[in-house]
Amino acid sequence: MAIISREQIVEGLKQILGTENVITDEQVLKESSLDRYRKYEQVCEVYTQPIPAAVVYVRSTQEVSEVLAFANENEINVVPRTGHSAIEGGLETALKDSVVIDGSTMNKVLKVDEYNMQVTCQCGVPLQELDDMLRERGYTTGHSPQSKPLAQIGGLVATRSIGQFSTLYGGIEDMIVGMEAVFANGKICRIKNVPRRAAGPDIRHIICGNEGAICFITEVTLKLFKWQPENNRYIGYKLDDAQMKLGFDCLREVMVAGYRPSFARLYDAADAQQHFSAWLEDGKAILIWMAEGPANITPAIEEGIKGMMSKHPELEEVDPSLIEKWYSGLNWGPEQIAEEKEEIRATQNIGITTEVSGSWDNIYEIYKTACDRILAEVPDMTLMGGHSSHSYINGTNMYFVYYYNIVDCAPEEEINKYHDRINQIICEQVIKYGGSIVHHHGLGKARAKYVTQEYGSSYYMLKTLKQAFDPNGIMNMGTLIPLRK
Amino acid sequence: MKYHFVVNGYAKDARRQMEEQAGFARKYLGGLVQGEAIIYCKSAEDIQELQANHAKEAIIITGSQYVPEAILETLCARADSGGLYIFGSDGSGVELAVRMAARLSGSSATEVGALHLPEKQEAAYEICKLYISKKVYANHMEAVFSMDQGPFCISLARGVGRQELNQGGFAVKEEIACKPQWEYLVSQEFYPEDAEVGLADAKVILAAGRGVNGKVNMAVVDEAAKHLGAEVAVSRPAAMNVWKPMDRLIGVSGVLAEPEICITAGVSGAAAFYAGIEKSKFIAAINTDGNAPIMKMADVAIEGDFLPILEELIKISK
Amino acid sequence: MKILGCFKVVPDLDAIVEQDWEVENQRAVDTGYAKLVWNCFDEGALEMMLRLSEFSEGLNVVFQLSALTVGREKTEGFLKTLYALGFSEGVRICVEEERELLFSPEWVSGLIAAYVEKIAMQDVVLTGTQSSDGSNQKTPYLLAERLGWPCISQVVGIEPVDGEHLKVVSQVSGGRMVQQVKTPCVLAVGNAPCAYLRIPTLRDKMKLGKRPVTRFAPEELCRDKGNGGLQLAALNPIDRKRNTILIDKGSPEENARCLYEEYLKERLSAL
Repeated sequence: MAIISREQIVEGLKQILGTENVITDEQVLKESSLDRYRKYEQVCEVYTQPIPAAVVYVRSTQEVSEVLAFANENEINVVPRTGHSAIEGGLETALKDSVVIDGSTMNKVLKVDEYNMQVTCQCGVPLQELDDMLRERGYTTGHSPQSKPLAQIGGLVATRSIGQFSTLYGGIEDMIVGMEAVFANGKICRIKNVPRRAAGPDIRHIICGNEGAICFITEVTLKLFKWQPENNRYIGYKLDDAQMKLGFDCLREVMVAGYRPSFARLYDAADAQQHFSAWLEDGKAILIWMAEGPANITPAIEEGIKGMMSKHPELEEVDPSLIEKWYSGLNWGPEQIAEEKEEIRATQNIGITTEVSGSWDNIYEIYKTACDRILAEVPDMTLMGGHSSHSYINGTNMYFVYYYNIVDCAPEEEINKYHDRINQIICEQVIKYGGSIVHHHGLGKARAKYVTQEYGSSYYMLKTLKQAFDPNGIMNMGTLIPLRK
Repeated sequence: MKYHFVVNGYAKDARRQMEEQAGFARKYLGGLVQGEAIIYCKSAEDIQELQANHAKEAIIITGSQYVPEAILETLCARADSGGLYIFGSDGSGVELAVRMAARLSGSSATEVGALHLPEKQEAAYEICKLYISKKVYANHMEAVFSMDQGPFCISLARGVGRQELNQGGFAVKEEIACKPQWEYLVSQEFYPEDAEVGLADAKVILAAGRGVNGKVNMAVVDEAAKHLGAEVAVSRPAAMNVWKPMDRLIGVSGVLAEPEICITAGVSGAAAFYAGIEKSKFIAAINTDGNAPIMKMADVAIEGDFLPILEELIKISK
Repeated sequence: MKILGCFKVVPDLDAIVEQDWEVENQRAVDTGYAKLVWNCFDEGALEMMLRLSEFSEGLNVVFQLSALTVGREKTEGFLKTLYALGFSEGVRICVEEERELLFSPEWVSGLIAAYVEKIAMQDVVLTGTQSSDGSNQKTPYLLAERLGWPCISQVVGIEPVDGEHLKVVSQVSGGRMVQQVKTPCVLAVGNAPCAYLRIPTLRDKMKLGKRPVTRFAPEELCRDKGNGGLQLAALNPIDRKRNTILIDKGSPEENARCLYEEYLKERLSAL
């Protein structure tokens, strides 16, 4: 914890950044002490985390370096942030007198290199703006997470984000080229943009997924892809909820056969009703694929998937236009978040998600046993379900979706009574069956307590990395590696 | 066909409703003969106090309490079966228009934005079919309906164009007191509430959206509004973030404004918001995203950060 | 006291794709793919009923809550949710084609009135003032006329008084009206402060939500499909685009000056 006073911290930061870039407004500080992991506390405006000393806006890599060097010298905990859309506690200021370093003001697209098919941006470029701009030129990053309207490039890389079209384009780790990041002592490192290299370990992965606990990402170069939505094909089938195992097998079949649809999804009945209630019967799960790419490839993918699925009498084909329109009408952003807040206040009913991954041979068990346990052990559940939305040759993810009523419970108690309890059950089942407890939201602080179980013997490597790059313990403490209590 | 205005004299905004009725008639009812207005109110003085009228003559229905059942009874007893009755844009107007038509086997339509008479106008008094249009699907579409059973009872949409009223009170043709006692109504009390901030009547509005990004920047918006003589309004996300209180909310769930000038800063232009400013005579949009819907729904647009632009506007207007 | 809440299940209009708002010469918009939600005004009315019944604990009044919807089979899930929340009767008047209901408040109010008069007499009927899709704003008023009951519109709150009376708060221009009314009456719920319906737990759904919904064919109740002299003639997209002029003079300051000099100055001084 800081070796200088809160006032001295603010004063020191003002000298580096100028008064106007050091925010000490109480409301801003409070809101900056947490993220959407403590959604209920956020809604109730109850703040249980230490309130940071300041939120600072940085405008250049040099400024980031100076702020970090200052923090390092004075042992001030810093929390790097861009779009503020984190949901696993990664942005909580866990230590007293922390400083939130906000990179959203570094929002320039530095270079669109259409010949080499890559784009270079500063950390605060909003993904939505970037991709909209690229699409106008006929390109896309291929990255389309639900947080797209809020998230910015720095945060996306820091959390190893993944988008809805990952089955074709991969996660952000497959899209990054070079990067620039600043380490705790102020050292600025640039990794050059090359298509591939074998000059030692891929050090980009010290940066990608560091969750602000190792460095501050200031610049990222991403790959570009052609944007040709006119070729998209949609394929959908419904099946009984009791056939979820078959559903996973269908996802597997398509992957194993070598098709690369851009999205591949399986919703169980409970989750499906949240999206397709207009036409999908209660008790029906649904499988969906979208094929994206050149005009001669997408029909082939469609035909191939349909051919395989036609062999399953349990499946019933769905009018693809229903899927296409559902997909085009999907929207999520500040308006929805504001509305959600209001709804939680009114109904005391809250919805949370937890995403995990597993191999083909254990994902169904993870899904089934976690759902069953939660329903049996947690009170006041109003919805328990989930979907798989990212498939690989060797397995897939599971995105648990759950809602519960908050009954007789103070805002500061909610996390313990419900959210963490459910998280715990999911993590226990995942570890028991051999999956990963985090698919794409990051460990944050919420799941850091399971890090040794998640890593096993390789925890040594993570810990050593943290110690080496952040010996004074100033980088987003409590994230990745839990605080010692 | 004669048309009649039906005025809610109990309403605080009776004048505004009358102005809307007058504006509507001027725009759509040319060629029709105007009959006496029908005013329901506590007492005739209440309405004559306005010293304004939009019809020469008026029938006044009085009752110490607002009882729709009582008003309806009197309204229906006097109705002309071929007449067009134009109610105000408040909840009372909606209810009475629908129920009056139902009682007299006429036709009714609510929140009417426009009216079209049939082509052949030479025998206007014989008109027995007309067309009205109104917004449906939560302001996403406009529906046109034919009405073919008299009396034709319509209530107006909020914010149809207004027209200045004539000076002087109404010539009262008749004053009718409502039946005072209603078995269903045991007691009635009215609690006045503070009027909304002047958004609905503001001439200039500066609307801020989520792009304003924080309370701190909101101070610049306030400052600019002060210098431009504008009222500050916010979109839903901005209100939800408590950058401004809810009574500054503009849009479907807030105020539907109709200013001469509306400047938006950091507003994307979602349909729910846009409904709140679409009646603006002139819209200037400032947004960092050139592709935001608002950039096509404004008269002029500047692509860029709102801060330096507002700061410059403050400087100029000083 | 027997209270009937009438509600409509509507497509979530926020999920409609832009092109579907742009079609011309149609009688209805294609909303068939959008998820179903409670019509927001009715949702407030249903929550109000639950609160009323909670309020009455300690009073010597028993509130018997029923719910009715006119709609297709998919709407029964909503009625079962109401069962799980404590409603004692759920009724669906089976109309499978949504378009038939869109601009048919006369028919819908006729069906509800027939249910009340022929099947299950009520003391109070609550419904929202309008639906988000049809936006007719007529059903509660027509219902009051058909039943010959008084009606209070823009209701924002109700409280129990005794077995025959309710205290009703409604919004009127310039303030709020608090009235004590004797039943029967129709209450049209407007911008209720409790706009969201509470959500039943899965356990309550298992325990209470399995009861079958009572179904009626529309012909059993009301054969009159008259439209009250109002007939849809056209449904048109709304073009909100203005011929936007983009100011692009270089720096933000120059843009601001251009905006002020060329577009605002004169307009401001004309005010």
